[in-house]
Amino acid sequence: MQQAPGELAELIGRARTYDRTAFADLYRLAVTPVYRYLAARLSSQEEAEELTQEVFLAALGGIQGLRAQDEAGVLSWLFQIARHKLADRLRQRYRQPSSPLAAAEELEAPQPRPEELAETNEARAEVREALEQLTGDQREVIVCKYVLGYDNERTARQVGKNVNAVNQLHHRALASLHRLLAKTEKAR
Amino acid sequence: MTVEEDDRFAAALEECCRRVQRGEPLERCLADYPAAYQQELARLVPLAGRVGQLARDPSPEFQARLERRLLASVDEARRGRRVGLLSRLGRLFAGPAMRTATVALVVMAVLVGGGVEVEQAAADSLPDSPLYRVKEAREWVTLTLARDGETRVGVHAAQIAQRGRELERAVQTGKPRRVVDVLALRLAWSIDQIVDQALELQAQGNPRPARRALVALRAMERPLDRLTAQASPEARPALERLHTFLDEQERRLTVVVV
Repeated sequence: MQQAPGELAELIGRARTYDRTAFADLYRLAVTPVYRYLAARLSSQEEAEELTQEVFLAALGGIQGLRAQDEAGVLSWLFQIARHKLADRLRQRYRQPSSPLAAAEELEAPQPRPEELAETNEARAEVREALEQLTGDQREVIVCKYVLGYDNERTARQVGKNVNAVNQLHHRALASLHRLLAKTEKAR
Repeated sequence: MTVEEDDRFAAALEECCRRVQRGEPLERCLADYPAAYQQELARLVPLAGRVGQLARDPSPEFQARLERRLLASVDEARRGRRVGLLSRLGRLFAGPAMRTATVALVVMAVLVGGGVEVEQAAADSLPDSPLYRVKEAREWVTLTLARDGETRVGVHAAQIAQRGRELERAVQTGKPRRVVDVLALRLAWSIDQIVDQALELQAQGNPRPARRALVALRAMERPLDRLTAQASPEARPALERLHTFLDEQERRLTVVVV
């Protein structure tokens, strides 16, 4: 859904007064990016759905404090909530390590053969693990560019840096990912 | 690599990743860069594709489910704001006797047409709210003031639809089982009343109320199916019993409605 900046500011204003239609429009605008943002870092579909729900419920609770005037601002705000929720979830997982079965619930759309599925899931889990070891800024750039599909300008706005800095972060992030994945492959 | 070279390489990497993502073969992209860059680009560019595999979209079912859940919460939040002043007033009158007096005053305010805010807040309330009594009182008055049997059938039909909306809200906002039970019971009472009244009028030679009652009952079927599926395991039995009762009453009407 595309919204002109003025229209979106008006929509946000109405959402603050708990206008049903306005909140529904904001939700439809943001649900896919928020889900993608979370799903890139979580292994199970159930967990991604659960956290997406938590993010939007928290957003509803805090909508009075939303000062954004455009789509990028709204998404930044939602991603910030999502980062907090993710951090809580990862901390929780650290305290209560999940069973090996959790890895079998990997997000998957079509139905390839079981051995192909296992390989794909394993490959994704490796990338996800490597992603977690990047710095926060590097990870944001990689997620913005390759999971959310943002161009450099949009990524720069999202992470609050200039395009040149984003290029540098992108380079360092890919170099680190390469190093981390090579290490994992070697260990196998 | 100097800082300047590093910047230039970072820009080349960004450009090459974008071209490959658009479907250009990696080799063709590499050929456009100096040999010093090629090896590093060949190592890093394919990683973009691997990260891209983490992108997953939410299912339409999940999106619809979450939207319903959120909008129910938006409604709750709006009601909470509207009732804010009333709750503050309510806290001033905390004892049971004072509460009854408050309810009576509120009913009076509603009946003389002065309490628009109260009326609206009460209209949106559920049985776990003190304001629900205001709604009950108002409904009772409307029913009592109905000038004839056919009008009463109309009032019951409206109340059946209202109970349906309340049940929907109660289920979607995860209200406790007792709230669902009360609503199911009240809906069953309205169904029973509308069918009795309609059949009585049918026997007197007026077929319109029975047709109207049948429409009201049939309109409840699908929402009730949906709610039974969505309800928590504790709330589900009341809805299942209600469904059986609805079917029975519908059969009573179907026999007389051609």
